[in-house]
Order: sequence, then C-alpha cells, then structure tokens
Amino acid sequence: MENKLQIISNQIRLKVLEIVAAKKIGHIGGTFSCVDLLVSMYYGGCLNYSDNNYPDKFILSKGHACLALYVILNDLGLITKEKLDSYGEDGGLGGQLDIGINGVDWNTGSLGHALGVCAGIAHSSKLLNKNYKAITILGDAECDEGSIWEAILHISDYKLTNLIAIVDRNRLSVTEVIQDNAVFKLLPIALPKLGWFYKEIDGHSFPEIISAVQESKISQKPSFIVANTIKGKGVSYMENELKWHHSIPTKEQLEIAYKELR
Amino acid sequence: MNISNDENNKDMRDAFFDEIYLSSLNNKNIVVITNDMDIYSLRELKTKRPNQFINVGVAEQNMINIASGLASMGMKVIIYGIAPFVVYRCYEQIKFNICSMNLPVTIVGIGSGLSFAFDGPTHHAIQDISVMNALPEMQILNPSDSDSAKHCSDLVLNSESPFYVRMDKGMHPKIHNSNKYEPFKIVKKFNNNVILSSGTIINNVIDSVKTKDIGIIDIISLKPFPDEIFNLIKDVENVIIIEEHSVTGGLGSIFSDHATIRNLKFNIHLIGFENKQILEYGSREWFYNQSGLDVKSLTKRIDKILNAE
Repeated sequence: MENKLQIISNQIRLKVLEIVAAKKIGHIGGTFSCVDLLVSMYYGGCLNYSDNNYPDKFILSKGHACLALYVILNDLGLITKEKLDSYGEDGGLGGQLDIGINGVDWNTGSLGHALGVCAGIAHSSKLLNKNYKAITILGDAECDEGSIWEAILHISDYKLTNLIAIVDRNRLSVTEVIQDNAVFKLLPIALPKLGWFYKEIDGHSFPEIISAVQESKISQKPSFIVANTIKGKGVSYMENELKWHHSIPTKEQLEIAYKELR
Repeated sequence: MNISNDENNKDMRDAFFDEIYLSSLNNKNIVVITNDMDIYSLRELKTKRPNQFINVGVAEQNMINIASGLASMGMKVIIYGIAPFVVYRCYEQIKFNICSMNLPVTIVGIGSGLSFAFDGPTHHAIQDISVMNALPEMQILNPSDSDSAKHCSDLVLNSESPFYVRMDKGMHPKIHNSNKYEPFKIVKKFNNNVILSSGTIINNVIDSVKTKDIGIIDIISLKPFPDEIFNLIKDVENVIIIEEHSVTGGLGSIFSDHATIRNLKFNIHLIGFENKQILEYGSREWFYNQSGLDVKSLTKRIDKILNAE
C-alpha cells in the first residue's frame, strides 16, 4: 500500500512538473509539499469523496496547490484530459480552484477562510445527524490569519467533532522561513487544552498521515494535524528553497527533476 | 400619528424576526446566527431550538464563514448584528464565501442610517448600501415599516439568493398595509414631480410634502431595482432622491445608474448625507437637523427645487 501510494505521488509530481514546464506557470514548491497529503486523501482512504448521499467535504485552502488536485481529479475520472490540458490557457483551469470544476467543493484564492467554512459544514452534519466530515488542508503561513483563530475557538466551544484540519507545515512562506514563529509555538499548547485532538506527523510518511486521520475520525474531537513537510519535496534542488514557491524550471533543471522522480 | 397606540404595529425587528422564529419552529433547516446581539423575538428560539441558534460571539469574519458552510449543505441561514459590523468587518468573507459561492445567506444589518446615532460613527450605517451594491449576487432590501419588514422575511425565506436586509429599529408609522411583499409602493400620487425614498426617513419626506404637487415612492428593493418604476415615472420631470445614506453609492446612485443606462433624462436631485466622515455625537433628530434631513429643512429644499422651474 505504502509503496503504491509513493508511486502515485511521484507520478503526480512528474505530471505537475510537465504541465508547469509546458505552460510556464504554477506554484511547484507548495504543491509538492502537500502531494503526499492529497494522495492520502484520495488514494489512501482518508477522504470519503465518492459517497452518493453524504460524501465528506474537502477544501484545499491553499488553493495555489491546485495543479496537484487537477491531476488527481483527472486520474479519478472527475475531470477530462481536455479540461486538464486547459490549465494555463485563457478561459481554462486557473491558478485557484472553483466550484465550476467537478469534484471541487469550494472556491479558493483568499486565505484563512476554510476552517470557518468547515465549522459551518460540521455544524450542518450535526444538525442533520449525519456523519460526513469537513476536511481541509491549510497552509502554514495562513495560520497567521485572525479568522483561523476565531474558527479554532468556535469549533472548540461548539465541540464540532466532524472536522479535520491538516496543516501543510513546509516552513516557508512566500518571502520568509517560518521556523519557530509564535503561531506554531502556541498551537501544540493551546489546542489540546481547547479540546482538540492535536498531532504532529511526518507529512511525507503515508503510514503516519493515514493513521493520524484514522485516529482523528475515532477521537470524538475536532482534529488538528500538523504535517511536517518539505517545500519542493521530491526534487533535490527545489527542496526548502524559497525561490521554488513559483519559479519555472529550465530545460536542464527539468532533466534532473525527471530523473529524480522516475 | 400616534404610532404607539396602534395595536397592530410593532418594532420592525420583531415584525421581521417573529416570522423567522415561527418558520424556524417548522423548518429545521433554518439556522440563525448572531455576533452576540439580543433580539426579543428570538429569545425563545435559543431555548426551544438550541441547535438552530448560534451565537458566535464578537467574531464577524467567523460568523460569515460558518454561515456559508451551513448554507452550502442546504441550510437557510439568517445572520444578524449591528449593521456596520456585519457589513464592513467581514466584507471579504461576504464577497468570497457567500457571494462567489452564491449561497442563500441573509445578512440582517440592524440599525440602518443613524439608528444608533449616539453610539458614534462606528455604529452608523450610511455607506452600507454602497458596498453591498458592489457585490453582483447580493440583493438589498430596505423596509420602512413593520409590514414591509415582515414581508421581507417571507421573501428571504423563500429565495435562494444572498440578501442584505437593512433593518431599522423601533416602531414606525405604517405605510404599507399590504398582505404580501412589494418591491416598492406609491405612497403619494404624482404628476410632474416625484420623490424616491427608502427606509424610515420616508416619514420625514411624507410630512414635508403634504400640500405640495409632488408624489412619493417608497423603494424596498434597492437591488434588484424595480424596473417597473421607470414605466410609471417616464413622463416625470423632477426626481428627488431622499435617503438616510451617503449620497455616494446609495439609492440616488443606483437610480442614476439605471436612468443613465436607459438614456432617460430626468432632473435628478440627490438628498442624503454628504460623502464625509461624521465624527460628532448626538441624537438621530439632531443629525437630521444638521444634515438638512429634518422635516423643516426638507420642506425648504424641496420647495427650492420645485420653485426653480
């Protein structure tokens, strides 16, 4: 299973790279850091996306990592190859997600919203007496947003247990290394005290990701998983380099990347 | 008119929220959310249907996001709070999560215009129509009495659009006396001159033109603006807009935009608050007086327009 997921992850990174190289636009660094999280969602059983009545709701809050999701949605048959090929073209798939795309549950582009929206979705699952989950992948830099903290407190007060937030903790914002900032010092202290299930994991280890999500689902608590990841994961010269937030690889760089991912 | 002696009249907020309360008891999909504001009509909802009433505390951004998450799952969500805080503080949340997702969330901004005059400029709602009008999916309602407020609740509960309802507080003279929602009402018949007004300021307008040859239309639906009005006023010469809002972006701007698009040439006169910060404190009546919106000032201003011909 683990091996199979790793192979899928590499294939998705390769495909993302091919598309970015061809279209000369995209955010490779922050996409590669969350590919393993997305693969766990869609191929590792973490997200119940295919239930006919009440599927889980999923928001990729860091929507700039959309290209990996486009590749996955195409692989799962939710969007066509033509749709995927329209990425970067005028009127085609863009740099953020929108609900006009089959399989996408929420528009993205502005940070700090998804956790509060998930709180609303979790309220609804409680009201309707259903068991669907609201799951979101947040960027680590967006945890600075005040609205994230308003949501954390509200979810705690209302004990919204059908909710899982996973942070792609790649430690790089657009311009800064965010190694030990106050937000990530506070989260591990505050969240358990506020009644959240809190766990830090290796965000590139499939067994750790999948077991953390499984633990979340049986915890009877809202869950916050900090997935330690590497920006640019999978291509040596991109890893932990600020410039790969949105740089486009040269032909030579591409050759090296292809070799490493194959 | 002695409005407090009218047994059928009530506080506009209660007229609107009594309906919301009754509908909530029969429909489990209605959820009411507030940022810690007390509404008499909803006190029982809290105890009878605790799952359908959420007080998020003083956290407006979160309030909008939670509302949109609920609405996306089929809930009908009614938000209320003091108008400026549920409009400006969380504007991006409204634009992004309610409007770009086109979800059936109704935002009730309590305290239209200078209803909360003495609480200062942070509590005034005199640019709210302007910013809400900029959002493509948002419909805007501005009731002027308890009847129109009541019918606005019927409309929002039976629609799938985002709404902003600009709600005054207190009891005001009954103007509408209708048994269903109407987007506008001719309050006084007109020939060559007409006043378009909206909200409870219309009572000052009514009192200032009693003996004049000028009619009055009360606009409840600011957006969409009722097209039918242009047929009714096509032969009118002077259109005076009187509103308790900045003259920039309110009813006057909305009307002028529509008239321009239709290439209709009226003499349009805009009466409202100037586009400047109000930093003084005082009563609503004192502000009306300062801004030329009291009955005496309006009488003079309307006379000046009518006598200029």
